[in-house]
Amino acid sequence: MTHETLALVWLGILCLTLFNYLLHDSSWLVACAYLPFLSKEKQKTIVTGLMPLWDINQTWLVFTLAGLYAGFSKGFALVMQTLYLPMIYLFLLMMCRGASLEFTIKTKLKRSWVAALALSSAGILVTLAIALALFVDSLHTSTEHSLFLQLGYWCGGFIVFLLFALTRRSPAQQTKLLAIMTVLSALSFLLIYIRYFSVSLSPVATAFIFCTGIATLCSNIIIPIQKRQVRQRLTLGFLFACALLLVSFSYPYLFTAKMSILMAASSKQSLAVCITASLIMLPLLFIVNKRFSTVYKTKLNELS
Amino acid sequence: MLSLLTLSRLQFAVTITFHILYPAISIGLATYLLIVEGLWLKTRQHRYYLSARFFTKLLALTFGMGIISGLAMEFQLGTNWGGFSAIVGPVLGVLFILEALSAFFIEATFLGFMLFGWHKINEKFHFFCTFMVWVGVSLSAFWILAANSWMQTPAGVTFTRHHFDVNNWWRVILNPSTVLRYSHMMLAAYIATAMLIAAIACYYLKQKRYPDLARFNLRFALVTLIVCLPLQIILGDAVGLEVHDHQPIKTAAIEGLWHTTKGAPLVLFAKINQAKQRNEMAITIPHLASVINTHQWNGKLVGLTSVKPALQPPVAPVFYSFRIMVGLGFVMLGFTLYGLKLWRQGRLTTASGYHRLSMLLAPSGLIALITGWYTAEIGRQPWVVYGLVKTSDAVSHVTYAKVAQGFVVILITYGVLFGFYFMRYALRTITKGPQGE
Repeated sequence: MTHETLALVWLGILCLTLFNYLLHDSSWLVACAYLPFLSKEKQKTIVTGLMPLWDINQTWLVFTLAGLYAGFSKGFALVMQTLYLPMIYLFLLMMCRGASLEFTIKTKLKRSWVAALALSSAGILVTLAIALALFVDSLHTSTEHSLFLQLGYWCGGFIVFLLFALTRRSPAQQTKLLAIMTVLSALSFLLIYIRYFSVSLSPVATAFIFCTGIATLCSNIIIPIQKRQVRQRLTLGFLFACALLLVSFSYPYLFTAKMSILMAASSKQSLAVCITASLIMLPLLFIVNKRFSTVYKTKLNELS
Repeated sequence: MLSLLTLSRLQFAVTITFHILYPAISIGLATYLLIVEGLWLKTRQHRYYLSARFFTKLLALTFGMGIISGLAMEFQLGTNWGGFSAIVGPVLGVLFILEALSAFFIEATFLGFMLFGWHKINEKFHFFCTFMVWVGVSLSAFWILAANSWMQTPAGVTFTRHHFDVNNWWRVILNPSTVLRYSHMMLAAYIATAMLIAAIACYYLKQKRYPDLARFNLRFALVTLIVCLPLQIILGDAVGLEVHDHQPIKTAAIEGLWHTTKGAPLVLFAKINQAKQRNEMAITIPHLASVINTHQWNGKLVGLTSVKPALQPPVAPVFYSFRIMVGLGFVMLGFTLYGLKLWRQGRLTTASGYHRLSMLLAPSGLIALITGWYTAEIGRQPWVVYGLVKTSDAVSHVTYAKVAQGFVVILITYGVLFGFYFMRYALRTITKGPQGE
């Protein structure tokens, strides 16, 4: 295999593991952000449901980061430096969430810890959206930053959607929300298309694209549970399409506008070892993870 | 004002100092739980069951903290050490991938069953889960120590123009210091945990609560200590020989030795004056440094002045850290021998002074572990990969303001989460004891 093919295969594997993380943890993130609005009984169900799975969910993220570090060391270094502050806040929020989760259980759902868990979870979602928006923006060189646009990041789509979703509790309202999300998802496709054919589109649009994607995925928890699986597949398909579209328009410059995939990639030997080890171990781990997620589904059914 | 490099190093030092405590306790507790649960399955004695349930609670707390503080360091490798990631990522990153695939997933998969599966899953399967968690933590420590040892004694690679090419992965993993440093670290984790277990047991004995459980745990800790401490002294000596062979300047910093000397004296204590390249108020024992580091009466030790001052590590922190580590090692050995004497006299469970001493020495194993780590890491400076990549080439090109902001928020978050809340809940769990089990 050529160096470029190896790099592409490894990138594909990392996309899969990142999606697995998003699939398993994003719903929990929103569920936790929603926690203070729920009854004690439901809070308990969510927290005790998440506790045994939290560790394995984080492991997918750890794997993705380690994978970037090993396979795209120069790209990893550049992207992490570019996104310095969002990344620092992201890991601190992740720590706060982990600690809050432990202490929430230890203190038998003490209100202050429930609030800390909710705030850190919402904070992670917002920071993730900002980091993603900034990353996509770094792929483009001609973007102008103004105060208004910066504000656009912070007040970007995700917060709006999340707050909107949190205020809707009845199934009818949630169904409406689903419809809005679907329309917005379609709009996002259009925005991506425009963004990568017209350099004049603002970064706010980029922020919205990703915020919409994540919010759509996260809305699974809020909308009625019975059809959850179908929606999850659709949402994942949408996100995967977004990622593919992004890759195809940016290729080969996938790590900021100046660094191509080959420039970012590690040596052939390193990529070969990573790919071989992952091809042996990952299928096994996916099966185990799938089995474990049944616990999560059971808990969700209890909720409904 | 601190330089960007110093600030970044301080930031990393803070995170690793907090982080290293949790995996060390988790390694020790996982091993302890494996033994205790095995004993319970075999004998069905309630005290073993009670011990297993109680220390599982503490493991849950330390394990969770270990994961989140470790995740932070993975981020930091990119944010603060971009140069390091770009140069060394293709080598060390592969070890981290192997760690994630072989250790993290095992831990993560079986930990849930282990923590929450009591009375919900078959007892033998629960024991198997405990065993797998122990395998996971031990493997995880191996990969991290392999990566860190490679930074101390790089092997299996060629380095040209800021680029590593791996010739032999086995030599990268099993580099000259991996096995020794891994064994040294595992024993340090066992010793630190045993000191904590002894202190908890003594606390209950003093309070006259759970006497059966406390008696067993104190004896268990003393047996662990009397096995591990002498072994650690032998291993420490082997590590010293290895460091002298591969990193002679680090040995010189540890010994506070400025000039190359045959039959070098052991400096028991001195005031280090690096600016003037000499020691002040030194108390020495002739020939002993040579005997320890070369096993020869007149063995030759290279002095710090054999390299330019810019290539010397900060000597004082290495010199003092090492002495704290060794000093605490001997204090713990004395504590253990005294405890064994009391046990023999049948006074172990009633000697309240000894119980107080044990509680006072509770963090001694952890302090020794941290100071040992400082000795190894600061002693390697100014290199991040010894002899090949300088730490100054490893730092990220980000603004000072960003790093300073990051440092402040990290200090606050770590202080509040780990310094205050973790301690509070850990102490509360201990104070409460294994009630209701």
